[in-house]
Amino acid sequence: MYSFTTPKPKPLIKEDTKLWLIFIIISVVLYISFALFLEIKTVIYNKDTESFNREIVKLKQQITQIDLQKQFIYKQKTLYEDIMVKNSLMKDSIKNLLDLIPDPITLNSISFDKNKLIIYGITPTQDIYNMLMLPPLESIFTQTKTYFYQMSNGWYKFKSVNYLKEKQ
Amino acid sequence: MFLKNLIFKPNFIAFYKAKSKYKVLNEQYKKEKIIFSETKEFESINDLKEYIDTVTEDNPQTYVSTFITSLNQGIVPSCDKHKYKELEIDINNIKMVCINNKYSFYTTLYGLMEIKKEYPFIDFLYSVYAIIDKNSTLRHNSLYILSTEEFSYILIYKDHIPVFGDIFEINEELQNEEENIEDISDIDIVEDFDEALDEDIENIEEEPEENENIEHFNIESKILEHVKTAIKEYYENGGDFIEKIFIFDTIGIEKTITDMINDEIFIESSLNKIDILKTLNEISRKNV
Repeated sequence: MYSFTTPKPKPLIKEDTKLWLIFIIISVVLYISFALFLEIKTVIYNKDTESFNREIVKLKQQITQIDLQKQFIYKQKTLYEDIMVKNSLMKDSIKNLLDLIPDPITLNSISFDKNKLIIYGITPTQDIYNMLMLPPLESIFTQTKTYFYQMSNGWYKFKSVNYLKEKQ
Repeated sequence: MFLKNLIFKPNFIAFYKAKSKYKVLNEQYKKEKIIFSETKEFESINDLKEYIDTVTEDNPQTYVSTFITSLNQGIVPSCDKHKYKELEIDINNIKMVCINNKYSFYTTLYGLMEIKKEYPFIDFLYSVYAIIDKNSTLRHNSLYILSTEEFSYILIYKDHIPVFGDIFEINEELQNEEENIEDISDIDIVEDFDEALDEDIENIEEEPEENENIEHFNIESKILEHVKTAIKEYYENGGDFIEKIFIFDTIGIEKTITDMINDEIFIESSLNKIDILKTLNEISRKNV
């Protein structure tokens, strides 16, 4: 009102204030972007943590399974060792046994069972068997039973059943 | 706009040239409250420009205003261009400002251009009548006279509309008066010299006071003359009787002027001091 002229457009702020504002805005933008960066990183880390936690649970389950497998394998190992020992024992026994078989006696077959040894053979007389064959067998096995059967030529077929432990 | 007013504290600088001096008022407002005020006087326009530049540099929200002191202005009791044609005012050579769709102030384009050239830093340029209009209270059959060092600006209201405006130059007449005063003082000094050579210095000191009184008396009588001339012209153009005269004083007019007016033209009058610069800033504040 009243004026013949219109006022010139006025800048809202001073030149140096403008500069300050630009710097402040830049620093605020930097601050916000850094905060955003940290926030994003946090989210990513949280996700990683979750996935790691899941993996830990999974791995724990695997460990349990592996433990079970391990126990099973240990059992197997024990069993194997047991068997090995038994086998070596048996092997030694058999070797000893075969070494012990006297010349007049002939073996037809030998069968092994768990704790049992069955020998089929031919002996000229029962005494030869009882004198030469029976004592070593008795020294090895806990129980020995022998059955004789006379053949037409006067010799005897025999069946010796030997138990290593108690008869089962 | 509200936010702008809330945050920024605009500076309003008003100035005008009086007797080759630039009178300046710089005010700063926060909302409606004045928080800073400074009055200055400058001898040269460069000093004024420098001051305005300093303030503007400090606060870009600085609005500079002044008013047209010259004779290149007038009022028309209408905003209609036909009225201008009726009054034989060339509408192409003037710039007008319409107030409330009722009346208008105008100035010549040439004068406006000259002022813009002289004061390229101004934001608002007002008619001197705007100052009277802003301060006017009674707006019916009333005469207002704004008295400055160089001019008497007269505005007559009728039915809330300014209907008559006139500007009288004091300077020329004052120069004549000054010559007379010089003559009188010369005589006085001669007389004093003749009558009492050993007179106290006090008497010599009294002389300028006397001169001042004479000067004031002359200013007052000139103002009275201006009022009389204006009223005469107004009546001759079919104006109604003036019921009250308001004198807006900016130079320190003696109170006796009201008696002088009453004795000479039998119209009640009142003398009020006004601050032109403050008024200009008030108008500017409403414009921002």
